[in-house]
Amino acid sequence: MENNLRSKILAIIPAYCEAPYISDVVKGIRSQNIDVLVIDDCSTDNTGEVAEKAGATVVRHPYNLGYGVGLQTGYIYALENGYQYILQLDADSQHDPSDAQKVLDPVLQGQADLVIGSRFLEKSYKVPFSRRMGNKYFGFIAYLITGKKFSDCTSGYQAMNADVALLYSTKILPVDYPDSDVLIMLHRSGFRITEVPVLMKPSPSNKSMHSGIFKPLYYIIKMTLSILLVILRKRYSHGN
Amino acid sequence: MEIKLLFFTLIGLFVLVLVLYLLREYKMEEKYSFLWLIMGIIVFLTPLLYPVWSIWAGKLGLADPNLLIVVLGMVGILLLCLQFTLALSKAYRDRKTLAQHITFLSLRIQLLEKKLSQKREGKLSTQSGISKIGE
Repeated sequence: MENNLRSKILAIIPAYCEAPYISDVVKGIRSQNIDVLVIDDCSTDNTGEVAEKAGATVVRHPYNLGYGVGLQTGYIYALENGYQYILQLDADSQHDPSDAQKVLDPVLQGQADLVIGSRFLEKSYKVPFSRRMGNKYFGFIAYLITGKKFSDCTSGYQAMNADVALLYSTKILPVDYPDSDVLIMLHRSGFRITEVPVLMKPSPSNKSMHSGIFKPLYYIIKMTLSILLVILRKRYSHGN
Repeated sequence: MEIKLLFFTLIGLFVLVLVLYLLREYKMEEKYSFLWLIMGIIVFLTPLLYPVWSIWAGKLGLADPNLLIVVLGMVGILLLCLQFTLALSKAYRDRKTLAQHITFLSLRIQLLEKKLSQKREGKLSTQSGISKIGE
């Protein structure tokens, strides 16, 4: 990849209390000459400092706003600073930075507007049964609505162009769990979505947005409602 | 169907349609809509659930099942109020944090501006000193 093209890419990493892992993730991306923005979601540890030392630009939320808002802060920053392509990945080292090129390629070559790094297209870590079932359920709903098969609706390893980021930086992005509902919305609006296989490791911190009893239940109800609303809402015309 | 039961169905339907409309137009956050939707569904289904209300009213010693519906309605409204109180409390905490953050940012900007103007004045006085020597 040419250096000229690399300067147009920004990797955004929302992080909350990920000090032990963030350094490797940032260094892994910086070694590919890609700018990195870490959105420190008011961590109570020194995540921000560690990320800055590893070579990232760090912005800090004044209070904890959640994963989706962190991503949206990243999209807005990228657009305001003239970046054309955005790579997003998790801070807990679940996503392998060496897969960045693979995830970015279809967007850089103009073959897709959004690329999802899927952990189910290739041999990856053993995903817990409940999460696999949840993924299948929402993947099936997405298939019924769009006619397109998504193997990993909840993957946070994604690359997109500025058109998608522009849409994501508005109120239409559900900031708590931007997953299948957003994919359906993008597909209905004419954006091209594709998946590439990536290697994912189990989260070393063993914490998840969907852990516990009530959170998964809330997630299923909330996501079902969100998908219903996507169908009720008007389609966004691509490029507007 | 009795008129009063039809009334419940219409109210339930109205609540459901209104909440879905507000969600569709991004005027209501999805996370605050769940209790409203549950309330709407229960009110909408009240005519179907009427035999169940009658059985439970009897078990609780209430002579009229309508009384049970009113009591459950009040409990629902209390839950909604509780959710709003929690949301308001969180919003208040967040607003306070944000205000404090802005206060400190303003202070930093003031100090930086002061430093910058002092630097400029220093430069200007040095320049005027040089020009005076030159004269």
